[in-house]
Amino acid sequence: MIVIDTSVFIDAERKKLPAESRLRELLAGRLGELAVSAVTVLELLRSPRLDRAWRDFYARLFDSLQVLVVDRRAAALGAAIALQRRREGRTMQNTDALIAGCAAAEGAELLVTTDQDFSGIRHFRVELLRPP
Amino acid sequence: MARRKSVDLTIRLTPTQRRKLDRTARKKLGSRRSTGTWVRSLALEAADREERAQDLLRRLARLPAAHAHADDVERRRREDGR
Repeated sequence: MIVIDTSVFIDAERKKLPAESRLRELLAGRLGELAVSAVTVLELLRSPRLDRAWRDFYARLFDSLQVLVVDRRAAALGAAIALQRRREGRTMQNTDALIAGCAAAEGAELLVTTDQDFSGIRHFRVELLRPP
Repeated sequence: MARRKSVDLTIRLTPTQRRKLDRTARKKLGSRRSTGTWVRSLALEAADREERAQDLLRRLARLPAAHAHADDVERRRREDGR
């Protein structure tokens, strides 16, 4: 399972290349393995600034991939990951911790992100997309 | 005139491949459904996934940049408790 973090969609909305091209690649070749956390669904859909075309795209996208639920296990794993990061002197937002917890709870092999806060998490591999 | 293809699809397998498929189908579905039904559902799922992927890619290519929304999501993320 490959989990796509919210940050990839944010950059894709800005038409930034590494994120948009990686998203294309994943959709083209690995749609059956893709997942997002329910947190990502909330983050992307809650804003009134989301226009109709993007809203429609996300609706179809979330119908086509696995949406990971935030349950007790995911939340507890997210908390443990955030706590570990804190011991290492790094902070983590609640939303990021929940996304990491969802990925860890499902045994994801890879999390794709543009956000450095995920790097170094040991529960899964992290692919950090950087601007060219 | 173009010849219409039959709706039946025959696939040729070696005995080893057939045994392997039978074993996996039994494991996945139990003994009540046939290997053919299982292979059919897998193939149709793959075709459906491919269709969805192509549709999503076409849509993504046509979408305009959405800077205001991206900024909004990012701002909310920053405001989120650390």
